[in-house]
Amino acid sequence: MHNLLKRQLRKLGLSSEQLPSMEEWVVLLERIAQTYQDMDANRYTLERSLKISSDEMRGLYEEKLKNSERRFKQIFEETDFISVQGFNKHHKVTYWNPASETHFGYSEDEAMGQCIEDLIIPDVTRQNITQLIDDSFNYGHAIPSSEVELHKKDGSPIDVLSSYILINNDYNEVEMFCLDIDMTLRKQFEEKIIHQAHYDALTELPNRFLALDRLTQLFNEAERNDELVAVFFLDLDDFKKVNDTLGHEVGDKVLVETAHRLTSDLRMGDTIGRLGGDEFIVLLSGLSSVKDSQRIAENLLRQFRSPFIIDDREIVLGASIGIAIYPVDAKTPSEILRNADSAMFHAKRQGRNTYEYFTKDMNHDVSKRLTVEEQLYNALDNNEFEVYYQAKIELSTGKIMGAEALLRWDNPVLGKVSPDEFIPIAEQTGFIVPLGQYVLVEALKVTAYWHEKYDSTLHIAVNLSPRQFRNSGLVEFVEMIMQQTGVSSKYLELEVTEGMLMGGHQYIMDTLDSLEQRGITISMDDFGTGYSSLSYLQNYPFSVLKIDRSFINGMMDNAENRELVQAIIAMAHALKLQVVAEGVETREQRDHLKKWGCDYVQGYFFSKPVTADAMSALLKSSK
Amino acid sequence: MEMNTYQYTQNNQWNQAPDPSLDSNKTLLILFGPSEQSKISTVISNLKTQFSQSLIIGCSTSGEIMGESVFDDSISLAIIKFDKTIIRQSTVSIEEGQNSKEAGRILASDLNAHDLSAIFILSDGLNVNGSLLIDGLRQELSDEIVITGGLAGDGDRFKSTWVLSDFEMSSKCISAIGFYGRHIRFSHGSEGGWNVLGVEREVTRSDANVLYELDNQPALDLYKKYLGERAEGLPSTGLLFPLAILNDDDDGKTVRTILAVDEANKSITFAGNIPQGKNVQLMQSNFDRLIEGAYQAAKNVLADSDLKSGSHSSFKPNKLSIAISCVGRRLVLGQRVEEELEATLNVFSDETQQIGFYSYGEISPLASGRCDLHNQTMTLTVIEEDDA
Repeated sequence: MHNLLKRQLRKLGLSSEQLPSMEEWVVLLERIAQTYQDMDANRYTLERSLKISSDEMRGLYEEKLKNSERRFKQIFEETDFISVQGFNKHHKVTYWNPASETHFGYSEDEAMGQCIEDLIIPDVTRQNITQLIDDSFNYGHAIPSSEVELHKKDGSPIDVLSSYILINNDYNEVEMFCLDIDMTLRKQFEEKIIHQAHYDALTELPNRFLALDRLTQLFNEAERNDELVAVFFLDLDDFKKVNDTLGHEVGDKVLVETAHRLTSDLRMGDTIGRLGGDEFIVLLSGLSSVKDSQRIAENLLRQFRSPFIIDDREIVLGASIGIAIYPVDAKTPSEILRNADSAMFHAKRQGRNTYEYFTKDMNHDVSKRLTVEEQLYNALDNNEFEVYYQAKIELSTGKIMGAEALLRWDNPVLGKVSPDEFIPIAEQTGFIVPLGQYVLVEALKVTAYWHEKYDSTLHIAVNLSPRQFRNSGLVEFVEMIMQQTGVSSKYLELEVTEGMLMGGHQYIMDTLDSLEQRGITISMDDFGTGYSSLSYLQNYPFSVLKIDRSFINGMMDNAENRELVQAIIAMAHALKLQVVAEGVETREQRDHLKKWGCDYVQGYFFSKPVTADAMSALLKSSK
Repeated sequence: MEMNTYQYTQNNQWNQAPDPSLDSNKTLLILFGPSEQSKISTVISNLKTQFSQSLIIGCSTSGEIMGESVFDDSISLAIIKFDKTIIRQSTVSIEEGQNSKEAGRILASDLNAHDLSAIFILSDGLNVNGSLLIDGLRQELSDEIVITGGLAGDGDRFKSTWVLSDFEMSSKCISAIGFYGRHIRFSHGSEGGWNVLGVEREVTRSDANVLYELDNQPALDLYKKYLGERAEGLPSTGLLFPLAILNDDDDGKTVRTILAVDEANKSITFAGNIPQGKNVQLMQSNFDRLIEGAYQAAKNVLADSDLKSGSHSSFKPNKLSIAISCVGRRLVLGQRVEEELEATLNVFSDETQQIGFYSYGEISPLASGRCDLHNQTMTLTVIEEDDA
């Protein structure tokens, strides 16, 4: 029997063997009932306390979880350049940190619950990204980190570096988090660094590095287009004094003002750079004449005539400019820089506030050149030109078969100016075109006269310059003049130098073909003086080869020279070209040439270049 | 020593008449009775007449223990006549707000002597801070002196208790008997059987033995939550969830019993200090564990006794076991409360007689030997005098 029941009986003086009295029974039942109540109460207390403490434990656990989550959450909440978005397998946003709002423009309220693709994935990439996300959720395929273009709320693009992480969250659901770093900043940094690497911080001008890079570019362009490049080294006079007496702050302001003044004067395509200190570089491209560079130098110096007003102070400064010209003064950028620098040094020595070209000769030449340029402009109108003619002899017959037209210039200021001097200048200024036309017209006119008067088989050879080819109307003009003068194309020979062909310009080739097709003879002048004569013979429509006078001059010096000439003649014949030897001055030369089969000769031995009248007389006498 | 126990009930009076021949100046009467003084005042005055030389100490209870039974409105009396041991008594009364610690000091210094062996102390159960009282005692006494005793009870009313000294029952009173000489032996054991329940909480606001807040929440609200329907029975149902104060040192846990609640400031008054800043846990127990605890307490007495006697055969006749058990245990055990008393006597020899009471706090040395106020324990003190 249960201990308690035993005791309860005992306390009432009852035994299990005997029935109690009614009163005893009632008391016993009360006590037994009380026992049950006590048990219920105890059980109630036990169960209740277990439940409550279990709830408390759970609360504690969740709090701890929240705390640990809080730690990491805070990191994501406070970072300002990593945007973090979380979304579930339905692609609905479950987390949107403040940086996401900064990056994409959507607030947390706007973003939560929305489809992530609707928010920030551009249409172009949407399908692809949706697929990637689904594959990741379904099969656990990791999405590799990559730079990608997303878009903001306003539709504008934003470049980010994205990485994707798939996790099981605290509630055992799969959640994907995307972390983006805005690349715009990096790009901006990159651009900033690049800018800083190329531009002077104080004046915003290109720095030495960029300036030299541009110089190299200009060299390449100028070579292709056959133009001049001028490099100015500009140095402020007495700048050091300003720095020392007024301080570097004022000095800096002077430099900035200098940069302004210099830049205001430039043309498109020109460059001003700051090399350092008070030294500036000016690059002028596409110059046709040196005169242009002089004009610009003078303009720049003029800028320094008005004083600099800095902090209510008047500062008077001059500049010294050294000028070097490509291709005359240098073949490479470093060479031209050296020479410009040297010229500047001279300018300073000359008394400052002036400009100096690289060599004394250049300076002299330039002034002469300038004069030539000047005089050329009006020379045609003033009838200062005359076309001379040098007879070409057919060696086999000894007969005059034609003449080469050569231009002569007699200027009131300069006197007789040799073609070597004025032709290049004319080419650079473009004046060669009307000049060339003049020569062609005169030559064909007089040839027509000679045909009528003396010999209708006479040939006339006219030199062409590269510049004339650029003029797209050349072929038409030639045709027109032939027609006007009535001279047939088969009597016209156009001489082209090797140098002209070196650019490999297609338009030259096309023009030559066009002329040749009309029956005009194309001859290569100065053969052997250029770089790849033979390929030119192959590729261009030449019929005649003129051996340069230098080969003829040296013929009698030694056997090799003679053999060379002989070889040239043989080769030309093998190529079905006729050969003209230029600069023949002795009988010996003539004899050898005749022996070797040279077709024609030209030179002082037969006749120097003479006027049309004199030529006429020659023809008359040989008739 | 000569010793006998007696019981007085309202119906039957004395089961045996207290023997006046035991009266002497080495005689001690230990008496536990109902808190309603009127019920026993006549009996007390009769005893006074009969035992003019003896010292008497006693207190009101939340249940009188006689042997292995519990009674209410009764008197449990033990009369011990010592052979060689000298006994002396000291009593202090404290008014409201008076320093419990100071009272302890006064008692201790009054009783202190070079040959003081042990002290048995009974204190008012509602107006004294038991922890501080002990602190005061310990400040004056060396650690070798065994101090046992308890706090008087008042049923489940928590209204007013009395302590008996000089045959006068007074409230707000503390009395102690000092035992002198080398022949007296106090063996003691104390065990709870309560286990901690749930989470640790921090005492965020308290003042001595009044607890205001745990984890910044009102303490009373926490108890009400746990008690549910039984919250109506506060403060006595509060005994179901004593509070364990988690100590930093080896002493482990200190258990505290509720004495009172205050609805106005939502505070709970405990029998001893609840230090602010300490961590606490609620405790809970069930029948089996409490019985086991009582059993273990008795075992501890034997172990202690062996320690002292240095031999295993310490079973001597004429031993008095004073069982001071916590009112909270009575509440949990309900009608089965006597089983814990049975458990203790099962351990002791048949010649051991037992009296005691259900108290608002038990005083006994800890495992470390240091005396402290316990709550919710079965605390046993076995008093014997050796013949040598």
